[in-house]
Amino acid sequence: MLSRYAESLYWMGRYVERAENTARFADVAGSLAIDEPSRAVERWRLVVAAVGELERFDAMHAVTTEREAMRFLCLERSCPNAIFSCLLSARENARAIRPAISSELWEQVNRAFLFLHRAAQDEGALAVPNAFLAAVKRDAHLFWGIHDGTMTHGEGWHFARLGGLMERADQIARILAAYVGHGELASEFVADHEPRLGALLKSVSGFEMYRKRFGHIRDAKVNAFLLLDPEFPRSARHCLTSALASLRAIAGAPLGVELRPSERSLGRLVAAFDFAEPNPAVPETFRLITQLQDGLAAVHEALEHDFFYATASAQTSIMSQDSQGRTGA
Amino acid sequence: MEFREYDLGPFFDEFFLAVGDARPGCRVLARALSAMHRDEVLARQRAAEEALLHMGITFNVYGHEAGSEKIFPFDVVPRIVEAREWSSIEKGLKQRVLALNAFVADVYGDGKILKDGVVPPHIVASAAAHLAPCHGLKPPRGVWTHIVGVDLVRDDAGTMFVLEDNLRCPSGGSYVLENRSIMKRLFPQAFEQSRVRPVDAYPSRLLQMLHAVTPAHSETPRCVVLTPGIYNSAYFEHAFLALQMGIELVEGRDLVVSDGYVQLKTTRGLERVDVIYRRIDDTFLDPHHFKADSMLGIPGILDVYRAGRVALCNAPGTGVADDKVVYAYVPAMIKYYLGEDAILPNVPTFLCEREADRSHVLENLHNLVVKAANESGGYGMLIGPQATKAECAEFAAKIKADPRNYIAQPLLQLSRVPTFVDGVLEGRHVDLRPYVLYDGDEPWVLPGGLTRVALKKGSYVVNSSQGGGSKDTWVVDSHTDLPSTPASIGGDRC
Repeated sequence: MLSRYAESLYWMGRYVERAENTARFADVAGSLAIDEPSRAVERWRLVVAAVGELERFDAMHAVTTEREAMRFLCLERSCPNAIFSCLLSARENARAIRPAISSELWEQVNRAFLFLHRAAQDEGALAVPNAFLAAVKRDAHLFWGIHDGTMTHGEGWHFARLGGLMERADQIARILAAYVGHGELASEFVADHEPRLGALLKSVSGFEMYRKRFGHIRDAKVNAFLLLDPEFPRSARHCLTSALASLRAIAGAPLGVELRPSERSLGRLVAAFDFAEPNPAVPETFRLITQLQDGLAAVHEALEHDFFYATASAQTSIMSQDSQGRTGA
Repeated sequence: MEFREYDLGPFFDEFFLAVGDARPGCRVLARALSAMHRDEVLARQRAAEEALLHMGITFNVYGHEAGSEKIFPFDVVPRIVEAREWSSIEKGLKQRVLALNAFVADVYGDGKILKDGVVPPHIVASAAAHLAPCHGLKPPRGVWTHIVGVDLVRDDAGTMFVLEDNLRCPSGGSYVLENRSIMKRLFPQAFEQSRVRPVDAYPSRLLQMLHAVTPAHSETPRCVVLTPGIYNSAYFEHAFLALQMGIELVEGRDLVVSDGYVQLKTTRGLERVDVIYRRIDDTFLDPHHFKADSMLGIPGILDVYRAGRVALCNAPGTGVADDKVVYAYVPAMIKYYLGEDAILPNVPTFLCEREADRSHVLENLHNLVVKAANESGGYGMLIGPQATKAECAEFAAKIKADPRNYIAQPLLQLSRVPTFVDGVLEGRHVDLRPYVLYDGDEPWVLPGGLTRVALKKGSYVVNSSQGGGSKDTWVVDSHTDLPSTPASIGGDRC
C-alpha cells in the first residue's frame, strides 16, 4: 500500500477517535457541573487540561465560564483538539485518500464534518449540549461501523484501526492523569470521591461495565479497570492488545521472524500491561500512565520509520503538539 | 411547472422550437416537467445540492479556508442533443483530435507542417506552452493528446462552432458522471421513457486507454492518477476518477525516480509505476527540466519518459496546440494531415499579430471578444459589447504591446437552455465540452459531455470560477411520434 495512504488512514482513525473522546469528556463535565454548580468551572478546566489545551484556553479567555469552555472544546477552530478541528483533520485525511476508502465511509466523515461546520455558524448549536455531543459520538460510532462493514479488512483497514486504538489508549491516559493528578483526589479511599470517580468512568463509557464487574466504586479498582482490564474496550490494555493484532496483520511476518521496530515497541508495551500488578495504587498508576504515554509516542515514531517514509511534515507537527499537550496535562 | 411564461428571446433555444413547442428530443422531458408542481422541482433541486455536498462533489475556491469547498452549482433541467446531430459532432471531434495529435507530434518531430508553410513557424516557436525539452520525444504509440476536451458553442442560427481546444489535462469529466447519477435519482421516469445514451463507460474507457499506452516493458501495468493534492480546485475529480478506475491517486511526494524507473513509496518499499495520468501542469512535472522550484513534481521523471520507461498522459508539450493563435490554424491542419474539410467550424478569428486584423480589431473592440492566447478559465478576456471604455482602452494598449498574444472573435449569441432560477424557468446561455479519448487507434467520444451554464442572467461566462454551473447532457434518439404540445399538460397544477 502507498505509504501516504497508510499514514492518512492511521490519522483519520486517530482524529475520529479524538473527536469522540473530547465529546465524552465535555459531556461528563457538563453533567457533573449540574450536580455540583459550585465546582462547575473547576470541572471544565479539568477537561480542558485533559485535552492538553488549558494554556490556549486561558490565553483566549480571562475568565472561565461553562459556556466558553464548551464552545472552545466543540467549535474553536484555532484549537487543534477541539471537535471541529479533529473532524476537519479527519476529513482532510479522508479526502487525501479518497480512493482508498469506501464511498460510504467518505460520506460519513464528510457528513460528520459538515454537521460541525454548520454548528460553527449557528449560535444556538450548543443550546442542548448533551444532544449535540450525543450526535458527535453517534457519528463516530457510525464511522467505525461503516469502516468495519464496508471496507476490506486488509492493510488499510488495519492502519485506520491501529490509529483509532492508539488514540483511544492515549485518551485514557489523559483523562486518568487529569483526574488522578488533580489535587482534590487523594490516594486513599474517600467516600466523597464516588461521584467524581463515577464521572471518570462515564467519560469513557465505563460506568455500567465497571458496576457489573466490581460493584463498589474504589480508586484503585477504577484505575485497574481503566488501565488493565482485559475485556473492557476502553481499557488501555485492551486497546494495546488489539492495536498489536492490527500491527502484526500489517507487518505480515510470522512470530519468530525478525520484527520491525514498531512491532517490538508495541509488543513491549503490551507485555508491560499484561504483566502489571493488579489494583495499582496512585504511584503505580502514575508510573503506568507515563509508561503508556511514552510507549505510544515511541510506537508512533517507529511507525513513521517503518511504514510512512515520514511523508507529511505537517502532521508530524500535530504530533509534537500532542507531546506538549501531554506535559501540560 | 408550465412553460407559457418562458421567454425564448432572440436566441437559439436548445429545448424549444417555440413557446410550448418542445424540440422532438425534449418532448418526453417537457411532459414530465409540466406534470410536476414547481415545489416538486424545487425539492429535487435542493435534494441534488444536498447530495452533492454530502458526497463531497465540490471544488476548492482558492483563498478560502480548509473544509469550505463549494458545490459546482447543478441545474436539474438537462441539455438535450439529438442523436442525429450528435453523430456529426462526434465525427467532427474525432477528426479534430486526430489532426491535433498529428500536429503536436509533428511540432516536436520533423516539423513538416512548419516547413510547408501551413502553420507559420514563429507562431509555434512563440507559443507560451511550447516546450523545448519535448523535442525528439517519442511517446508510446505516438499518442500525445490522450484526453481532449473541446469547447463547443452554438450561435443564434443554430450552428455549432469549436470555441477552443483543451489539450492540457482538461477537467470536468467526473461532473458528467456525477450529474448523470444525480439525474437518475431525481427523474427516474424520464430516463425510462427517453432513450438517453449512457455515460458510465467513461472510467473503463479511460483505464483501457491508459493500459493501451503502457511502455513495452510491462505486462501488468501499474497506472496511477497524479494530483497536485487536496487543495487543488479539481481534486474531487482526480480522486473520483482514480476511485472509478480502481487505481491509486498519488502526489508528487509519493513518487521517486530510482533505478531508471518511476517508483511509488509503499509500506513494502519502492514499486514501479508504468503509466501516469497526470493532472499537474507540464512545467511542474520535473524540477530538473522545467520549474526548478516545483514542489509538485518528480525530479528526473522526464528522463525516464524520454527513455520510454513510463507513459505520461497527456504528454508534456501538448499545450502548444491549444494556444489560441494556433487554434485558428486547426482547419488547415485537418486539411494538411487528413486531407479532409473540418466538420466542426472554428469561430471566425482575427489574429492581432497580422496588421490588417489588428487594425480591424482595434477599430471594433466594442463589438468583439478579445482573448489572451494562452489563458483559459474565462480569464484575460474582454467582452467588447459589455465592456466600459476604460476596459477597451486597457485591452487596446495590451494588444499593441504584444499583438502575438491576442486574438479577437465576434461575440456569438450563445444558445440557451431553460434553467431553474429562483423557482422559475428562464433561458440561460450554455456551452458544451465533450471529452475525447485517444489511444493510437480510433478516438472515442463520451456521449454528450459537460454542459456548462452561465447562471447569471444575460451572462456569457460559463466558467465555474465565475458563476457558472452545469447540467446533465443527454444524447437522445428523438421520438418524432410524440405530440408536441406538452406545455398545457398539468399546467392547471401551477
